[in-house]
Amino acid sequence: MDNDITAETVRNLEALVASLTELLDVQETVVGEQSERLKQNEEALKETNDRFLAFIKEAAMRLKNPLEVVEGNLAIVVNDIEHGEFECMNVSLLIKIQIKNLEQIRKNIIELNKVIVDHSGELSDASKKFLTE
Amino acid sequence: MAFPLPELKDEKIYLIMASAQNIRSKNIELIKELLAKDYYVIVITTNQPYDILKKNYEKQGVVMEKIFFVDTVTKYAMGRDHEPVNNCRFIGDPADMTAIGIAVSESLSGFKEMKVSLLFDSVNSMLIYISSQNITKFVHFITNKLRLMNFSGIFLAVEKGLDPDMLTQLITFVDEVIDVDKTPPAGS
Repeated sequence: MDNDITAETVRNLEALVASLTELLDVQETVVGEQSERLKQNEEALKETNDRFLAFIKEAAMRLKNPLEVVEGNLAIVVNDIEHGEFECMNVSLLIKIQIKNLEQIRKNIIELNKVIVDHSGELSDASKKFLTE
Repeated sequence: MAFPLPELKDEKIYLIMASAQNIRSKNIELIKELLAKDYYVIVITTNQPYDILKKNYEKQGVVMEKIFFVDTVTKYAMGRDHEPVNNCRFIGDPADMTAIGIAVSESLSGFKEMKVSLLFDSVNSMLIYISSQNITKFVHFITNKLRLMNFSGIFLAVEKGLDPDMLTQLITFVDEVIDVDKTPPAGS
Protein backbone atom coordinates (compact mmCIF):
# COMPACT_ATOMS: atom_id res chain seq x y z
CA MET A 1 0.00 0.00 0.00
CA ASP A 2 2.75 2.39 1.02
CA ASN A 3 4.70 1.41 -2.08
CA ASP A 4 1.69 2.21 -4.28
CA ILE A 5 1.33 5.61 -2.66
CA THR A 6 5.05 6.33 -3.07
CA ALA A 7 5.01 5.22 -6.69
CA GLU A 8 1.97 7.40 -7.40
CA THR A 9 3.56 10.34 -5.60
CA VAL A 10 6.68 9.89 -7.68
CA ARG A 11 4.60 9.73 -10.87
CA ASN A 12 2.74 12.85 -9.82
CA LEU A 13 5.95 14.62 -9.05
CA GLU A 14 7.41 13.51 -12.37
CA ALA A 15 4.30 14.81 -14.14
CA LEU A 16 4.56 18.04 -12.21
CA VAL A 17 8.21 18.44 -13.13
CA ALA A 18 7.37 17.69 -16.77
CA SER A 19 4.61 20.31 -16.67
CA LEU A 20 6.90 22.80 -15.03
CA THR A 21 9.61 22.11 -17.57
CA GLU A 22 7.10 22.57 -20.36
CA LEU A 23 5.91 25.78 -18.72
CA LEU A 24 9.45 27.00 -18.40
CA ASP A 25 10.05 26.24 -22.09
CA VAL A 26 6.93 28.16 -23.03
CA GLN A 27 7.92 31.01 -20.73
CA GLU A 28 11.39 31.04 -22.24
CA THR A 29 9.91 31.18 -25.72
CA VAL A 30 7.51 33.96 -24.73
CA VAL A 31 10.26 35.92 -23.01
CA GLY A 32 12.48 35.40 -26.04
CA GLU A 33 9.76 36.64 -28.37
CA GLN A 34 8.99 39.61 -26.13
CA SER A 35 12.66 40.41 -25.91
CA GLU A 36 12.96 40.25 -29.69
CA ARG A 37 9.89 42.46 -30.07
CA LEU A 38 11.31 44.94 -27.55
CA LYS A 39 14.60 44.96 -29.41
CA GLN A 40 12.80 45.59 -32.70
CA ASN A 41 10.74 48.34 -31.08
CA GLU A 42 13.86 49.92 -29.67
CA GLU A 43 15.57 49.76 -33.05
CA ALA A 44 12.50 51.24 -34.75
CA LEU A 45 12.34 53.95 -32.11
CA LYS A 46 16.04 54.71 -32.52
CA GLU A 47 15.63 54.81 -36.30
CA THR A 48 12.68 57.20 -35.97
CA ASN A 49 14.60 59.30 -33.49
CA ASP A 50 17.69 59.41 -35.73
CA ARG A 51 15.52 60.37 -38.71
CA PHE A 52 13.80 63.04 -36.66
CA LEU A 53 17.13 64.49 -35.47
CA ALA A 54 18.49 64.42 -39.02
CA PHE A 55 15.32 66.24 -40.11
CA ILE A 56 15.73 68.92 -37.45
CA LYS A 57 19.39 69.46 -38.30
CA GLU A 58 18.82 69.63 -42.04
CA ALA A 59 15.71 71.77 -41.53
CA ALA A 60 17.71 74.24 -39.44
CA MET A 61 20.37 74.51 -42.12
CA ARG A 62 18.02 74.59 -45.11
CA LEU A 63 15.21 76.67 -43.59
CA LYS A 64 16.35 78.75 -40.64
CA ASN A 65 19.71 79.77 -42.07
CA PRO A 66 18.43 80.45 -45.61
CA LEU A 67 15.73 82.66 -44.13
CA GLU A 68 18.49 84.59 -42.38
CA VAL A 69 20.30 84.89 -45.72
CA VAL A 70 17.14 86.32 -47.32
CA GLU A 71 16.55 88.57 -44.33
CA GLY A 72 20.11 89.90 -44.56
CA ASN A 73 19.85 90.45 -48.32
CA LEU A 74 16.58 92.34 -47.98
CA ALA A 75 18.06 94.47 -45.20
CA ILE A 76 20.90 95.40 -47.57
CA VAL A 77 18.38 96.36 -50.28
CA VAL A 78 16.44 98.51 -47.81
CA ASN A 79 19.65 100.12 -46.58
CA ASP A 80 20.77 100.90 -50.15
CA ILE A 81 17.36 102.42 -50.96
CA GLU A 82 17.33 104.50 -47.79
CA HIS A 83 20.80 105.84 -48.54
CA GLY A 84 19.99 106.49 -52.17
CA GLU A 85 22.69 104.02 -53.21
CA PHE A 86 20.69 102.00 -55.69
CA GLU A 87 19.84 101.58 -59.30
CA CYS A 88 16.37 100.31 -60.15
CA MET A 89 17.68 97.41 -62.22
CA ASN A 90 19.97 96.25 -59.45
CA VAL A 91 17.27 96.50 -56.79
CA SER A 92 14.91 94.61 -59.07
CA LEU A 93 17.51 91.87 -59.60
CA LEU A 94 18.28 91.59 -55.89
CA ILE A 95 14.59 91.27 -55.05
CA LYS A 96 14.10 88.69 -57.81
CA ILE A 97 16.91 86.64 -56.28
CA GLN A 98 15.21 86.80 -52.87
CA ILE A 99 11.92 85.66 -54.45
CA LYS A 100 13.74 82.70 -56.00
CA ASN A 101 15.40 81.98 -52.66
CA LEU A 102 12.02 81.99 -50.90
CA GLU A 103 10.54 79.73 -53.59
CA GLN A 104 13.39 77.30 -53.02
CA ILE A 105 12.98 77.45 -49.23
CA ARG A 106 9.29 76.49 -49.70
CA LYS A 107 10.40 73.56 -51.90
CA ASN A 108 12.93 72.57 -49.23
CA ILE A 109 10.14 72.43 -46.61
CA ILE A 110 8.10 70.13 -48.85
CA GLU A 111 11.12 67.96 -49.63
CA LEU A 112 11.96 67.58 -45.94
CA ASN A 113 8.31 66.91 -45.05
CA LYS A 114 8.20 64.14 -47.66
CA VAL A 115 11.06 62.33 -45.96
CA ILE A 116 9.13 62.30 -42.68
CA VAL A 117 5.73 61.55 -44.23
CA ASP A 118 7.10 58.63 -46.26
CA HIS A 119 8.16 56.95 -43.02
CA SER A 120 5.08 57.73 -40.99
CA GLY A 121 2.07 55.45 -41.03
CA GLU A 122 0.11 57.54 -38.57
CA LEU A 123 -0.79 60.45 -40.80
CA SER A 124 -4.05 60.65 -42.67
CA ASP A 125 -3.89 60.99 -46.45
CA ALA A 126 -5.29 64.52 -46.10
CA SER A 127 -2.48 65.47 -43.69
CA LYS A 128 0.14 63.88 -45.95
CA LYS A 129 -1.22 65.86 -48.90
CA PHE A 130 -1.23 69.08 -46.86
CA LEU A 131 2.39 68.58 -45.79
CA THR A 132 3.78 67.63 -49.17
CA GLU A 133 1.98 69.82 -51.71
CA MET B 1 40.26 98.74 -42.34
CA ALA B 2 42.33 96.07 -44.06
CA PHE B 3 41.26 92.53 -43.57
CA PRO B 4 43.45 90.95 -40.91
CA LEU B 5 45.02 88.10 -42.80
CA PRO B 6 48.73 88.51 -42.07
CA GLU B 7 49.30 84.80 -42.42
CA LEU B 8 47.52 84.26 -45.71
CA LYS B 9 49.86 81.82 -47.38
CA ASP B 10 50.25 80.69 -50.97
CA GLU B 11 48.53 77.46 -51.91
CA LYS B 12 46.67 77.26 -48.63
CA ILE B 13 42.94 76.72 -48.35
CA TYR B 14 40.96 78.63 -45.75
CA LEU B 15 37.51 78.50 -44.27
CA ILE B 16 36.70 82.03 -43.20
CA MET B 17 33.84 82.52 -40.79
CA ALA B 18 32.08 85.84 -40.46
CA SER B 19 28.84 87.05 -38.99
CA ALA B 20 25.87 87.38 -41.32
CA GLN B 21 26.09 91.18 -41.00
CA ASN B 22 29.78 91.25 -41.96
CA ILE B 23 30.01 88.72 -44.72
CA ARG B 24 29.40 91.19 -47.60
CA SER B 25 32.07 93.59 -46.39
CA LYS B 26 34.47 90.70 -45.75
CA ASN B 27 34.11 89.64 -49.36
CA ILE B 28 35.35 93.06 -50.52
CA GLU B 29 38.13 93.19 -47.93
CA LEU B 30 39.31 89.74 -48.97
CA ILE B 31 39.32 90.68 -52.65
CA LYS B 32 41.42 93.76 -51.85
CA GLU B 33 43.79 91.67 -49.75
CA LEU B 34 44.20 89.03 -52.44
CA LEU B 35 44.79 91.58 -55.20
CA ALA B 36 47.34 93.33 -53.00
CA LYS B 37 49.12 89.98 -52.74
CA ASP B 38 49.11 89.80 -56.55
CA TYR B 39 46.57 87.00 -56.92
CA TYR B 40 44.21 86.41 -59.77
CA VAL B 41 40.87 85.80 -58.06
CA ILE B 42 38.05 83.54 -59.18
CA VAL B 43 34.88 84.40 -57.29
CA ILE B 44 32.14 81.78 -57.09
CA THR B 45 29.12 83.75 -56.06
CA THR B 46 25.98 81.99 -54.87
CA ASN B 47 24.28 84.99 -53.28
CA GLN B 48 25.23 88.35 -54.73
CA PRO B 49 24.84 88.70 -58.52
CA TYR B 50 27.76 89.67 -60.74
CA ASP B 51 26.38 93.13 -61.57
CA ILE B 52 26.03 94.05 -57.91
CA LEU B 53 29.40 92.61 -56.92
CA LYS B 54 31.10 94.44 -59.78
CA LYS B 55 29.43 97.70 -58.78
CA ASN B 56 30.40 97.21 -55.12
CA TYR B 57 34.00 96.35 -56.00
CA GLU B 58 34.37 99.33 -58.30
CA LYS B 59 32.84 101.62 -55.68
CA GLN B 60 35.53 100.41 -53.28
CA GLY B 61 38.25 101.12 -55.82
CA VAL B 62 38.90 97.49 -56.69
CA VAL B 63 40.45 96.99 -60.13
CA MET B 64 38.51 94.31 -61.97
CA GLU B 65 41.22 93.18 -64.38
CA LYS B 66 42.33 90.22 -62.29
CA ILE B 67 38.91 89.10 -61.04
CA PHE B 68 36.80 86.41 -62.71
CA PHE B 69 33.38 85.19 -61.67
CA VAL B 70 31.22 82.11 -61.69
CA ASP B 71 27.75 83.53 -60.99
CA THR B 72 25.09 80.97 -60.02
CA VAL B 73 22.23 83.39 -59.28
CA THR B 74 21.81 86.07 -61.97
CA LYS B 75 20.60 83.89 -64.84
CA TYR B 76 18.37 81.88 -62.51
CA ALA B 77 16.72 84.96 -61.02
CA MET B 78 16.34 86.84 -64.29
CA GLY B 79 14.99 83.81 -66.10
CA ARG B 80 17.05 84.69 -69.17
CA ASP B 81 20.67 85.03 -70.28
CA HIS B 82 22.76 87.93 -69.03
CA GLU B 83 24.53 89.77 -71.83
CA PRO B 84 27.91 88.07 -72.30
CA VAL B 85 30.83 89.46 -70.30
CA ASN B 86 34.44 88.38 -70.60
CA ASN B 87 35.12 87.83 -66.94
CA CYS B 88 32.00 85.95 -65.83
CA ARG B 89 30.32 82.62 -66.45
CA PHE B 90 26.63 82.57 -65.65
CA ILE B 91 25.15 79.29 -64.43
CA GLY B 92 21.45 78.69 -65.11
CA ASP B 93 20.63 76.80 -61.93
CA PRO B 94 22.36 77.19 -58.55
CA ALA B 95 21.46 73.58 -57.72
CA ASP B 96 23.31 72.28 -60.80
CA MET B 97 26.54 71.20 -59.16
CA THR B 98 27.75 69.56 -62.38
CA ALA B 99 27.49 72.84 -64.30
CA ILE B 100 29.13 74.78 -61.47
CA GLY B 101 31.87 72.15 -61.19
CA ILE B 102 32.57 72.33 -64.95
CA ALA B 103 32.61 76.16 -64.90
CA VAL B 104 35.02 76.18 -61.95
CA SER B 105 37.27 73.51 -63.49
CA GLU B 106 37.42 75.38 -66.80
CA SER B 107 38.06 78.70 -65.09
CA LEU B 108 40.87 77.22 -63.00
CA SER B 109 42.40 75.54 -66.06
CA GLY B 110 42.70 78.94 -67.70
CA PHE B 111 45.11 80.06 -64.99
CA LYS B 112 47.69 77.27 -64.97
CA GLU B 113 51.07 78.29 -63.52
CA MET B 114 49.61 81.60 -62.27
CA LYS B 115 49.04 82.83 -58.75
CA VAL B 116 45.38 82.13 -58.24
CA SER B 117 42.97 82.18 -55.34
CA LEU B 118 39.38 81.02 -55.45
CA LEU B 119 36.85 82.88 -53.30
CA PHE B 120 33.64 80.96 -52.60
CA ASP B 121 30.84 83.24 -51.30
CA SER B 122 29.17 81.55 -49.56
CA VAL B 123 28.60 78.07 -48.17
CA ASN B 124 25.45 79.29 -46.40
CA SER B 125 23.66 80.72 -49.40
CA MET B 126 24.41 77.52 -51.31
CA LEU B 127 22.50 75.64 -48.59
CA ILE B 128 19.30 77.16 -49.97
CA TYR B 129 19.71 75.12 -53.14
CA ILE B 130 21.79 72.09 -52.22
CA SER B 131 21.62 69.62 -49.33
CA SER B 132 24.34 69.75 -46.68
CA GLN B 133 25.56 66.33 -47.81
CA ASN B 134 26.01 67.49 -51.41
CA ILE B 135 27.63 70.77 -50.39
CA THR B 136 30.18 68.83 -48.37
CA LYS B 137 30.92 66.70 -51.45
CA PHE B 138 31.15 69.83 -53.60
CA VAL B 139 33.57 71.59 -51.27
CA HIS B 140 35.67 68.43 -51.21
CA PHE B 141 35.67 68.39 -55.01
CA ILE B 142 36.77 72.03 -55.23
CA THR B 143 39.48 71.71 -52.58
CA ASN B 144 40.88 68.66 -54.38
CA LYS B 145 41.00 70.65 -57.63
CA LEU B 146 42.77 73.54 -55.91
CA ARG B 147 45.36 71.27 -54.31
CA LEU B 148 46.07 69.47 -57.59
CA MET B 149 46.71 72.81 -59.28
CA ASN B 150 48.57 74.33 -56.30
CA PHE B 151 46.04 77.14 -56.01
CA SER B 152 44.83 78.84 -52.90
CA GLY B 153 41.18 79.02 -51.87
CA ILE B 154 38.87 80.74 -49.45
CA PHE B 155 35.42 79.50 -48.46
CA LEU B 156 33.27 82.11 -46.77
CA ALA B 157 30.66 80.94 -44.29
CA VAL B 158 28.46 82.18 -41.48
CA GLU B 159 29.34 79.96 -38.54
CA LYS B 160 25.95 80.10 -36.87
CA GLY B 161 24.31 78.85 -40.05
CA LEU B 162 26.17 75.57 -40.16
CA ASP B 163 25.47 72.38 -38.29
CA PRO B 164 28.52 71.51 -36.11
CA ASP B 165 28.82 68.08 -37.78
CA MET B 166 28.92 69.68 -41.23
CA LEU B 167 31.38 72.29 -40.00
CA THR B 168 33.63 69.54 -38.64
CA GLN B 169 33.65 67.89 -42.06
CA LEU B 170 34.38 71.15 -43.88
CA ILE B 171 37.27 71.85 -41.53
CA THR B 172 38.93 68.59 -42.60
CA PHE B 173 39.09 69.86 -46.20
CA VAL B 174 40.87 73.13 -45.46
CA ASP B 175 44.24 74.05 -44.00
CA GLU B 176 43.03 76.70 -41.64
CA VAL B 177 39.87 78.18 -40.19
CA ILE B 178 39.77 81.90 -39.48
CA ASP B 179 36.94 83.49 -37.54
CA VAL B 180 37.19 87.14 -38.52
CA ASP B 181 34.84 88.20 -35.77
CA LYS B 182 37.30 86.78 -33.24
CA THR B 183 40.57 87.56 -35.04
CA PRO B 184 42.25 90.69 -33.67
CA PRO B 185 43.20 93.30 -36.27
CA ALA B 186 46.69 92.95 -37.78
CA GLY B 187 49.39 94.37 -35.60
CA SER B 188 47.43 94.26 -32.35
